[in-house]
Amino acid sequence: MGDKPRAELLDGLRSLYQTREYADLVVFARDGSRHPVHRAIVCPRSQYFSDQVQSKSREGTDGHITLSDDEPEVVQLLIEYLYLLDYEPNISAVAEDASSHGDSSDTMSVRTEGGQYGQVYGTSAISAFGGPQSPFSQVYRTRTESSLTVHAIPTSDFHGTFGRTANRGRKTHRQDPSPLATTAPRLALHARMYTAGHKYGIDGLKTLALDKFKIQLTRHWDSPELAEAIHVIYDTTPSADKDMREAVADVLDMHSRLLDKPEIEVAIMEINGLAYELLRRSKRIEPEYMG
Amino acid sequence: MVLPRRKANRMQGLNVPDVDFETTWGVLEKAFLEIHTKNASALSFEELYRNAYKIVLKKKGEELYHKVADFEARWLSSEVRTKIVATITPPLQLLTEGNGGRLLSSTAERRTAGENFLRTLKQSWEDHGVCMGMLTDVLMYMVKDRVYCTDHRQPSIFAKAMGLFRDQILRSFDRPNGTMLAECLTKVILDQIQMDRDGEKIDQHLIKANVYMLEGLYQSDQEVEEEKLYLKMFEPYFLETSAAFYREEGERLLKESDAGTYCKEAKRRIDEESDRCRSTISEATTSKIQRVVEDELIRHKMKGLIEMDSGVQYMIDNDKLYELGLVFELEARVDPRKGELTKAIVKIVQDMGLAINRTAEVTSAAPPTAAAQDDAGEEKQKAGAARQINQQTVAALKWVEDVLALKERFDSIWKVAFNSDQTISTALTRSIADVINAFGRSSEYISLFIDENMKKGIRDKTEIEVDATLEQAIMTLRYLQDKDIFETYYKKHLCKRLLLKKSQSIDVEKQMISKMKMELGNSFTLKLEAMFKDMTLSEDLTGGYRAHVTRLGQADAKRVELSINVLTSMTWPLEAFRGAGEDEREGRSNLIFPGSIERIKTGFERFYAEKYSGRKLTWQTNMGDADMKATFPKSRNGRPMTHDINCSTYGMLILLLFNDLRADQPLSLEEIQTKTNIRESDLKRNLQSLAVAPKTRFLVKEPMSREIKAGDKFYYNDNFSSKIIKIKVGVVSAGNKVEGDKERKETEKKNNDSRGFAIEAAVVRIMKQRKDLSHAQLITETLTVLSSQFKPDVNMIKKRIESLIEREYLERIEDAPVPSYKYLA
Repeated sequence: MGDKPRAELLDGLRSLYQTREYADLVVFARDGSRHPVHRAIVCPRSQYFSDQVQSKSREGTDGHITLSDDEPEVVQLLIEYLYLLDYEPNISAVAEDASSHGDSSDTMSVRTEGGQYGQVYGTSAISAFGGPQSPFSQVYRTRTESSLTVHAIPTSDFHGTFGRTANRGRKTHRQDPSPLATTAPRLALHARMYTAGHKYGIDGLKTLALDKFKIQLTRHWDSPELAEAIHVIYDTTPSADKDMREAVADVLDMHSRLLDKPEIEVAIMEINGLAYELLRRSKRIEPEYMG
Repeated sequence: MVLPRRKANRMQGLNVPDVDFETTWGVLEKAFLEIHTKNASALSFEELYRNAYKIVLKKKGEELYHKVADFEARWLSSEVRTKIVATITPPLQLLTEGNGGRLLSSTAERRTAGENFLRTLKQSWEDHGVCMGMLTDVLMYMVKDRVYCTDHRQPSIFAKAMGLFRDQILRSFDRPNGTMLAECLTKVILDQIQMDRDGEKIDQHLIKANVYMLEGLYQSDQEVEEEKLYLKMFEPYFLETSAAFYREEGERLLKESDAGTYCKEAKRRIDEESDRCRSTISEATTSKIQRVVEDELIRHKMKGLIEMDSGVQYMIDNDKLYELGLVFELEARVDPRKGELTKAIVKIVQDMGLAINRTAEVTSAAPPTAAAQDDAGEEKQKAGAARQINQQTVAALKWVEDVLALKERFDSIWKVAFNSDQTISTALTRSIADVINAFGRSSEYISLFIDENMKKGIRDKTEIEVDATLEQAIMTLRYLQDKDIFETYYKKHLCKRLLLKKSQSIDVEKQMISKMKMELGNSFTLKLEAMFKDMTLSEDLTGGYRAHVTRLGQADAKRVELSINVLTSMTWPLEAFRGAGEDEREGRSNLIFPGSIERIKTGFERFYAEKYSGRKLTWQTNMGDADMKATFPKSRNGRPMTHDINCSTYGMLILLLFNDLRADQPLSLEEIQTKTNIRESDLKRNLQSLAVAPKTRFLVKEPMSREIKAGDKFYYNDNFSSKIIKIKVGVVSAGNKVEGDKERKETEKKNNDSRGFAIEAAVVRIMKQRKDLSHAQLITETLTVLSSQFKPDVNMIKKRIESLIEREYLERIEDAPVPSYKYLA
């Protein structure tokens, strides 16, 4: 199948998303915002929606679903994801806020050597859509101008070297900030998106959110939002779910001066699991990378 | 103001209130109760899901799991069980507790009560399923991620809930020390099925729904496929009661109805059980219940069924082809070889065959005794003798026709009722062959059958009919084992037909030969064809001689004409023409011919010697006949009349003697013998026909009596009278077609001799090719080689091998592991 038919399908979805024509289900956020959606789009992607629509409960009878547990923005982005396979958080709304704190993150000049990042970030971007074989991965690349496109192109020995490169990168030298990091990090939002993906059984969303979270961290690891994000992660996902927890531990491990921040200190003290994770890392020896 | 909002958000995020498990569970429990009481539509799915998610997130999943299980157990044991137990009314209690339960309450009572019970159980099960579906939807997060289950090796909450239904409902008792509900269920279903079998209407869907439940439940929460409750708690009892039921029904049917009805009933029952599996129980049971019904109604009853008064024998006797077909179909279900039926059919064929054989024996033996009792008079006795000959032919014809009819009959049964089954076909062929070969005179009778048809039977038949007759003969021949004996008889009969010109059509004869050739092979017909060749040659010879005589110019009106058949010795069974006990050399004694006859005899000998030098002609005078013209003075109402007399060569010689005598001048027996040199026994027989037989009494004997004795005198019969111009003189016992015992023994002996040669030839041929061979193998091969001719006696083969060793054709191989022989070139 060439790109064109795929693009056609995705354009169709985008159009449905924009017009909301034929919508047969309404999702409400707790602030009352109303999102007409299509059962045919939503249900196949999430068992949660599917069960609910078919159940004999109030929701099943009315066709109204209220996601009272989630931030209205999360609800909106969740639906955006279901149609567009991506979500773009509103940056301008918080840009002011972010700047008022001052951009204290690493101010090193942005490196543009795409290949290097590609190895680190490209992976999750692809796996988010089911790997290189997924029919959507290619379309995704052609459609998105801004985000992962450049990095998603795998280098030839991509799979073989990834694990090692990532590990060494983490241990031996500091991570360079990603050029994709936006001005406002929205770390907590990505964490919430991740939780939503988990709670409603949408694995693609989980991966995408994890990816976006990590990209932002490369630049905004110093953001005051980090503490909130940590709480979201540890409060709303089960401990067996490791990916986000590791991303947090990685960043705290790498930038030890974060530990001096009061809100981080509170978080570590409150969350036993995080303290343990950090302790474990500080004691871990990896002789195979020392030489 | 953006900041405060964010702060508020953050605070909320940070302070996700610790989930109070009891409170949250309280919400869920209340909702579950709503679900169970069918008020689900008021509930918010999202709320329940959210609460369950929170509980699991706080690692209270296990508690939740147990809470749910407890809730379900409580619900089932209190609400549901009570409802079900309430439906176990007295009729059902009687049914489930004792064996006599079925007798103590009326069918209608039990049916209503049973249906009520089944309906309640079905409803409970379905409700349970629906509720659990909703519950697991709500608990999906717990179920799907198996956060809880995989960690703790517990069954999924759904499986657990199913198990609870099994434990709290099916494995509970209707009252203390009562019956387990699962047992009640099984018994009620079995009772309903029994009603169905008895022809009453039952609610199949209701049972099916309950069976469906049993199929959805397992012995343990591990859900092992082989441990479905259906397989453990229902199916074995179903099969057991079915077996008992059909065992009894089968016996009752055998006693009360006829075989045809039995078959129809059995077929109906089998189909019915298949249908029942489909409509009422489970298709997984179809093959098992079929096996049970087949066992009870067919496999164990087949023998009884076949042997019923109205069984296979009766069906065959009365041409009940449809019923036979049913019997066949039944047994074919359980036994691809149709053992019992085949056995029965073989026995019937053999019994019927035996009857045919016995009838033939009785027919052939009866007339002489009857004649002897009836009348001792000479003429009657003579007629009796003729009739005896005839009777033998009749017996032969009847036998062959009966055998063919038997075969035909079973062929059509086979085709119509037995679906042209291969196994039965083989068995039929074997039994027909047994019938034919069990009859001592089969070879002779088949040949007689052909003989009779060649002489008379085919006279008015169309070509197609003739062909069918020939085909019938070939058919019987196909089954015949001792083809060599048949060949002997056939040659003898053919010989007579040819020489005495009795055959209706030489074309048909040849057609028969070619049919035999196809059926039995070239070597079999070789000698028979040679006989035809001799006949053709002889015709040419006769014509050639006549022309030769004419050329000689002896245009004598009184010339005796000669018609001759030159027969190759060895090809023709000339002994057929000699009476019993006659020696070959004696038979060829030199007759004294009157001059006119002697002249043509020597004339032909000269003629023949010129044509074929180095061949010796031997005159078979005993086989010849002569046409004479004789004039008797008072034949036609006292006036003279000339008759054409046809008589044997001997008769001619005797009559010619009286040509030269006066009417009152007698010749004694001794004188006649001296003048003709005819052997005494032949002479007596011929004189009997010339002087005793009333219609051909050309001579008068003195004294007048039946027996010809020494010293009897014979005169020319001056007073002979007959209205018939052409008179044929029969000779007593000369043409006896069916052998006497003595003759038969002789034929047998001769046959044994020729078989001996055939065996020796076969053995030598085999050994010449193989050089050395074990005894067993040699016997087998010999039997194979000879099977187209006859079935040799193994002892005879052994004797022949011994004889060949003596004559140093073979030798025993010393120290061979098995007895073996070696060919000596």
